[in-house]
Amino acid sequence: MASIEIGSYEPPSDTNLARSVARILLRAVGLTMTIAVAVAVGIWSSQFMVSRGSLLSTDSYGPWEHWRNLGRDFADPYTKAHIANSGKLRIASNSAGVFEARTDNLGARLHSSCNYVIEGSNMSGMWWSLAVFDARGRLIANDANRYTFTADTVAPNPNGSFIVTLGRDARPGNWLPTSGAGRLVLVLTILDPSTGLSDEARAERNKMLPIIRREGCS
Amino acid sequence: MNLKSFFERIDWRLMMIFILVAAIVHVVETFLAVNDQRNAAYARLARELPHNTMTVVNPVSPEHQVLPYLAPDARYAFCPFETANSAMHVRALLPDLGWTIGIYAPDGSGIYFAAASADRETTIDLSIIPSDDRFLGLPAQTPGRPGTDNEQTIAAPKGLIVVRAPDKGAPYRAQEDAILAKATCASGRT
Repeated sequence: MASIEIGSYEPPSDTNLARSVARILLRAVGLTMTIAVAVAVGIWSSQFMVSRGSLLSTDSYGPWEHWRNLGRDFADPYTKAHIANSGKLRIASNSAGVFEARTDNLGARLHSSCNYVIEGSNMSGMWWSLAVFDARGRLIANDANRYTFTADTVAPNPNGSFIVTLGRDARPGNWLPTSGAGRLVLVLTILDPSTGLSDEARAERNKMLPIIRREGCS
Repeated sequence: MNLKSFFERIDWRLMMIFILVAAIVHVVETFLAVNDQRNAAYARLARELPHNTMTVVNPVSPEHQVLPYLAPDARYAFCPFETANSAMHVRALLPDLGWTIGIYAPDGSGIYFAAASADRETTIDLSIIPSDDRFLGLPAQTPGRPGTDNEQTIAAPKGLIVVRAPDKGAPYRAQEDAILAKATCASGRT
């Protein structure tokens, strides 16, 4: 006849129980914190990629950002969300190039406390406009009622190129006032010709976007 | 601490949970943003402007900026439209370089776009019909529309028509306003 040996039951000590409970609590807190941070990172990364774009949705040409499938049927979700949430009314990217700049050519944030010179090349045959806004897309109120220059209203150089200046104080030439606006956003719109533009011609156009040079800050 | 001990201290299960949750939340948040049309240009203008009527809005200025990042480089005429009851007819003259007409879906994607060329004026003549197969009556006979370059029919249940007249400066404004005011969108048979 087989015999079964039954070991005596030893209740866990208070110290071991406390350690086990502490370990479980620590894991629960760790898991909760991980999930909370992951949720925050997920929301933040989505909002950033929707508002500012990323390599998935935008192209950069110096300081100029371009949403490559803006307004097109097959646009990626970030581009669609960008248009839906920002309230922007933009011409589709297969009909015009719309470029936004938030920095100068050296990568420093555009700000109304600084003066800037924007040098553009001759874009004859194309209609373009260059407008300055504050960071929320509002026009910057000024006594001169100057907010934008276009191919029709800019005073060009003899060779067809142009220079636009941004700054607080009035200057001769193509000056756009920016006083008190804080961070600035430049928007350059270049309409494609009515006959359309080939991909090669579009790439060539994108290489010749204006240079934004900071002159000084006060 | 060397690299090996650093990796040994990482809780890989928590790391996987972190990546998975962040990715799921990122995707959900992005698609919620795609479908949130409350601040879209169409929604904003459709709340303010009469439907199925072309409205020339005030010149864009800090006091009259109907949309963010809308530059005063042009005068604008808007027509929020719906083709639920009948087709829309749109007519606009684009006399010179910089003049454009665009039709946008409520989500901001472009349905139709035309720009004027520098050397000749262009008259746009469009019919917008619902995208389903409803019968809206027989098309009206329109033989006598001289000078129409672009007669087209496009399908869209609702959206926004935008006619844009570039600002050439004060001497041209009255003439441009007069041409812009003649742009029409009206519901009726095609």
